[in-house]
Formats: sequence, structure tokens, C-alpha cells
Amino acid sequence: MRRMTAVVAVIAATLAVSLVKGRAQQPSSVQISATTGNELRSWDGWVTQALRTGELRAMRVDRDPLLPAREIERLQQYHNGVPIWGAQIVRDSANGVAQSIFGQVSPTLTIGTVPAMQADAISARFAALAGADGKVLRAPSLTILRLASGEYRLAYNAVVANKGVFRVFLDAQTGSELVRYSEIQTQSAVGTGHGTIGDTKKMSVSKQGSVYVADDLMRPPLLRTYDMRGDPWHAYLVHDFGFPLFTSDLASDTDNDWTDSAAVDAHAYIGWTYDYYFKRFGRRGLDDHDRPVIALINPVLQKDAAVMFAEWSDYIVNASWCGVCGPAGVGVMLFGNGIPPQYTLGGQTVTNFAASLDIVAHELTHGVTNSSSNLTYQNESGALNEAFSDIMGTSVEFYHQPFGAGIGQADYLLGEDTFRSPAGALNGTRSLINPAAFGQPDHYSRYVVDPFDYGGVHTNSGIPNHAFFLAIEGGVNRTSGLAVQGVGRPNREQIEKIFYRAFVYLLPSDATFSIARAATIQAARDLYGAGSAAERAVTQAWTAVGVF
Amino acid sequence: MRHVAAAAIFALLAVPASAQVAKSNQRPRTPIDRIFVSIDGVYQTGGEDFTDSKTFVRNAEDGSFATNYSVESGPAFNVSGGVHLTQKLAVGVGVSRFSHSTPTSITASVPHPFFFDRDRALAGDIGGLTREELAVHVQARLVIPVSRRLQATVFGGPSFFRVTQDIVNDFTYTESYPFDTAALASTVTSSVNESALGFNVGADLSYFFTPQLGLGGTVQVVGANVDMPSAGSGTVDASAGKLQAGAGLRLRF
Repeated sequence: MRRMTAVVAVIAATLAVSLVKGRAQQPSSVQISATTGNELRSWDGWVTQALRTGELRAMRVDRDPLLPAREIERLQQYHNGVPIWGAQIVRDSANGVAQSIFGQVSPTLTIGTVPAMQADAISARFAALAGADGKVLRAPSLTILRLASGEYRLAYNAVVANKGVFRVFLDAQTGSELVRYSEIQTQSAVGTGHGTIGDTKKMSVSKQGSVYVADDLMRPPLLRTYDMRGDPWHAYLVHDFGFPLFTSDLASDTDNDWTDSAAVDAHAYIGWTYDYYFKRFGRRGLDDHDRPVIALINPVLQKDAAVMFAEWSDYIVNASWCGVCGPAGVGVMLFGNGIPPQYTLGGQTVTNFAASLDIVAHELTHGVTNSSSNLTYQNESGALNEAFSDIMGTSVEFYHQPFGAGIGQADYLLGEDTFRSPAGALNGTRSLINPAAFGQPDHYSRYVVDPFDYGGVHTNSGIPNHAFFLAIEGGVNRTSGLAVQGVGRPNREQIEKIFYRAFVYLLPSDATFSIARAATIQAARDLYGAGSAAERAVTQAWTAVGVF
Repeated sequence: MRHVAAAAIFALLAVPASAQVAKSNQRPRTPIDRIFVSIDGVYQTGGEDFTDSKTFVRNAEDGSFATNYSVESGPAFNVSGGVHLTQKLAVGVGVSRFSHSTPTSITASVPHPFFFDRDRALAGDIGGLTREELAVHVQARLVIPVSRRLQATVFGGPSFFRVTQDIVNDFTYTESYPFDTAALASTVTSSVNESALGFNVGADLSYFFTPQLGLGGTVQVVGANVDMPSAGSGTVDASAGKLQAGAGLRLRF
């Protein structure tokens, strides 16, 4: 026992040195991608030691149904009892033996943890930020925040709703605002479409009296679609301020032959997405424990879109997921109805956002991410968050729809059933085949820093998106010219499971593209063995898009 | 039904009437030649399977189930009697009863609650269903004395069938999320009755140990087409009867 303690002490000392060295070279944080050999053993020892000292504390333990024998610990790093925002370790173990460790931790900090701003003062400061029309949705909590400069600050963070829902960080010493980012993870709205696709789908609903309402009683979670009936203020109050929803707000139909395409598409496709996660991964909904799924539709009717566009564009040409919005912060999805077909946006027509299965699945996947790796919605982790939603959105499409380029068919375009272009031009808003077709980078060398999109979360998602595509279909990256041997479309399930395992279980919340590469490769080894075709495809794909 | 009843009455009345004739004539050969009774245990070969089907609406889509009824071989009971019109020509009436289980299989196609064109297939075997065939056979008989003790007979005529058959009207199944499969849980059955006119034709070989008592073997084909009520709408074609072979007592009066 004494010898063991000594070994741990030596490893800890070694790591402390390396951490300090790491800080000297890259002062903000230390990135961990340990999957083999001494590196894995060293980090495993450090994690065990840090758990004893309280520097790491368990957030939760997950079990991936794809590898049920594995135990995945998600650990939060603390400094003097204060959590360091985004500093997490994910350790995957089999029978108590670590198989991989990913993380983003901070080096030894000297920052003080006693705030100068008292709780009352900081609450008042957040309330002031919310304004008379706003609201503080989450009580302020103390945290240590790593700024983009690499500097650490003691800060309070809270969720504030005011013309959006934001997580705001205030300096705990001065009260000044340090960082804010949106808690609403959106499907960006670029382009237009030709309206709901005219298919017929089944609706799992319930009957209340003589009326049928969009309350799915057959699937395990509470799954309801609420009709805002063209009242954006109602939607706003429910979405941002948690106003209650009533049975009378449920989308309804008198003869169970539903004609409101927004209700049909949203309600059915949410169910389809739940089914995909359950059947493909054994996952039970957003949080794997059947967290309620609430959707808001018809915030602005399409016929009113032109008049209301200036004020309510986010409720017209957008779809969103907000994990802390809605009554009691239950989390809600919202789907805009698009604009009348005589109008175009960016050269495309835009119809109901719920008309695209991949958009619905995209938004629901934000809920999955929110409940698992909780990838921070800015910079690389934010782009990974967006990419995972795109990847799962596409995967749900392939699971339920036939492969093809037509309406209602599975392809590698995002939102193609909502955003319709003139003949000859691509439909949709993003392409996993050719991200550049919609202005996204397809290679890490083209990474974009966009301060107006939280560091380019909707832009840089093109890089992991393209890696996912290449790992399945193979091909050549247009920028690097590197070829990838994919696993082939019939084996796409392998890549879907690899990305799911990595993004849901293995990634820390501040993951970088590089960590995502390592985690997906590790997931490929976990699921299909070292040297498998899947591992080769994933490795080649990340290399082709310039992520190492 | 009226035909069956009339034939049965005729059969019951025939024996005492013949006996009265025998008593009054007091001729030694006449009683032996005029009246005869056969009591046979027979084995009826399996009938033709028949299939029923029904469509229904479930989960906003048409579903269906089909049942296949096997009419198995089994024992039957046959009593016949008659009267000689001449030395070689006779008329008679026979009653046969066949009752046996009818192993039934069911296949069903139940629509998925979430998706069109993704029916769940169900299949199962159902036990405990029975069929009963009660038939009255009117026969013209040609009697051929082979020797003093051995007698051959060929016969034929119309038959009146009454068929009682258990049929499956509906079924229940179990399912759970994600509803991609379903399993048969139980069936709802009922008995239906139907009558039909058919035929009988056969041959009999009897050996008499005494002038009144003998043993015989018989082979006959009985059959009818029956329009059974369907669990769905209309009727389904089914057949009654088949080849019967057996042996039993032969009585002459």
C-alpha cells in the first residue's frame, strides 16, 4: 500500500511538472487524450489521486448500452472547492481498468476563491442584465472561468432570458461581464423551401374528450407538441420565461386526420428520432432517462411571416433547442413555419422547419448533447456540438428514409426538405459531402473564428461533419487531397455508433477537434477492435480534414 | 335441416314396419332378405383444409388475419339400415357422425402504430377447435350374394350434411415499445352451423355366421361442399366428409 502511494505520488509529481510545462507552452489548459500504454496508466493514476484529494469530483457514471460492461465516469475539476468551468475528465473503464481518458483540465491554479461581490449584489447585477422584461432563469453560482486569453477568473454564472437565453459570467471581484453565450442551440436559417413535402405519416396522439391532441402516449417519455397558433408572444413567454403550458395549448385535431403539417411533421419526426436513438443505441431519449420532449410549433403563421419578420425572424426562419427553457426549465424545441412561397431567403424558399426530418433530429440531438457531454456552445466544442446534431440528423434520415436526392429521401444535406433552391442548385443549408458548398470549411486549415456565431459553431461544424461523411462513404477531401477508404454505406451503422459513443460518453464539455479525433478513434477500437476497418476509416477521415 | 330430419324419421320407422311385414307373411326367407341393419365403426380420412381470412382497421391502416383449418382423420360412427325391394335391390338410410379436433393455424398482419407499410407478422397454432359432421345418407343398394354366407353390396345416393365448426373470429396480441414485433395472445372463437347436400357411394362385404348375424366391412366416400360463414364477410368454401372405411355388425331380419 505504501509502495502504491509512493508510485502515485511520483506520477502526480511527474504530471504536475508536465502540467506546469504544459502551462508554460499552452497556459490555458491541458488536453488529455490517453488511450494506450504509459500515458493512459499515468493519467489513470493521476485521476485516482485527484479523486482522493477532491480536485476531481464525480458528476455521474454512465453505461453505454453498446458496451454495457464499461463504466464511464464524468469528473469535474475543482479548485479549492470551486468548479472550474468546462474542466472535465471522462474515464472509461472495464472491470476497473481504464481503457481511455479524455479531458481538458486546468493546471495548478493559484487564484483565490473568495469573491468580493456578495450574493445579493451579484443577484442584483444579473437581474439588471435581465432587465424589466427579462428574467434570471438559474440562480448565480460561483465558478472559475478560463478566458480565451488563458487567464482564469473567479466568476458567477447564471442563465438570463432577455431577447434570447444566455449563460452569462460575471467577474466575482468586480461584477463586470466576462463572457456570455447562448443557451439556445439553433438550426441556422439560410435559404428557403417549397413547403411541407405532402407525405402521409402516422401520428401517435391521445384522445381527450372528442378531440385528439398531440400527446404521444405510446413512446416511453412524455412527448408533446404544443401549438402556439401564430402568437409569437405566447411562444416567447413560454419559451423564455417558462410560462405554463396547458392541455388546451396542445396541437389538436377533431377527426384525427391531421391537416396542420407543422404539427404532423414535428410530432411524428420527434417520435422517429426517439425511435432511432432507442433502436440504434439503446438510448432512452434526451437524457437516457426519458426526459420530457416538448415542442412548440406555429409561433408565427407563415401567412403572417412577412409582416412579423423584422421582429420575430428567429421564430419564423429557425428551429431551436433550449435545454433550460420552457415551464420549469423542462427544455423545449421550437420550429418556425418559414415564409410564404412567393418569398425567398438567400435565393431559397423556406417552409416549415419541422418538414425536414434531419432538422427535427438535429434539434433533439442538442438535447442529447446537453444531457451528456454538454459540449460548450462556443468555439471548437460548440462546433462539435453543432456537428454532432448534423451527424445524428443525417443518420436519423438514413435510418427512416430511402437513400436518394429527392424530397423525403435520405442524403447528406441538412434541411433539404425545408430550404429549396432553384433547379440546379443544392437544397438545404449544409452539406456533409461538400461543406464548402454552403460556405463551411472542409479542412481544419480553413477554420473560421466568427465572433457573431460563438466562434463559428455553425461554420466550423463542417469539418467534423465532413469527417463523418468520409468515414462512411470514403472519398477525397477537396482541400488536402487526401483519400479516405470509408466503411461503405451498408456499414454506416458502425460510424454512427462510433460518433455516438465518442460524442455522448467520451468527450469532455470543452472538447477540441483533436480530442474528438482521439475519442472517435478510441470508440472505433472499443466497438470494432484495433485495426478494424472502422478505426482505419475514422482515422483517415480526421487526417483528411486536417485534424490530428 | 328438413332433409336430415325426414331421413332420420324414415330410418327409424323403417325397422318396425319391416318387422310387421315379416310377421304377417310368415315366410322363412323373407325376413332375412327384407330387412338389414349395419352398425359400423369407421375411420374417416382427413378432409380438405380450408382457409378463412378477415381484414380489419388498426393503427389507421388495414390489417388482416388468415386462419387455416386442418380437418384431420379420425373415427366416426355409422349406422344404416334398409329394406329389400327385390332379392338384389334395396333402399336404405345411414346416419354417420364424425367429430374431431381441427388444428388451426393463424397468421396475421398487424399495422405498426408509428409507420405505414411496416406490418408486424404474427403466427400461431390454435388448439381446441372442433368439427362435427352429422350426415344422413339415402342409399340405393345392389346386393350381390357371393356365396351362402358372403354378401357384397354396392350402394350410393344423396347425403344431407350438417356441419358444426369452431372458427376464429378475432384475436388479441401483445406488444410493447418500439412495437416492431407483436405476439399472438389469444383468439376469440365461435361455433357456426351449416347444412349442405352431398353424396355417398360405397361398397360393403359381409360374412354371416348365422342367417341373422354377421360381420362386414365397408368402404364409402361421402362428401359435400359447404359454404361456411366467414369470420370476415361472406362465406368460405369447405368440404365435409371424405373416405370412410370400417367394419361392424350385420343384422338381417
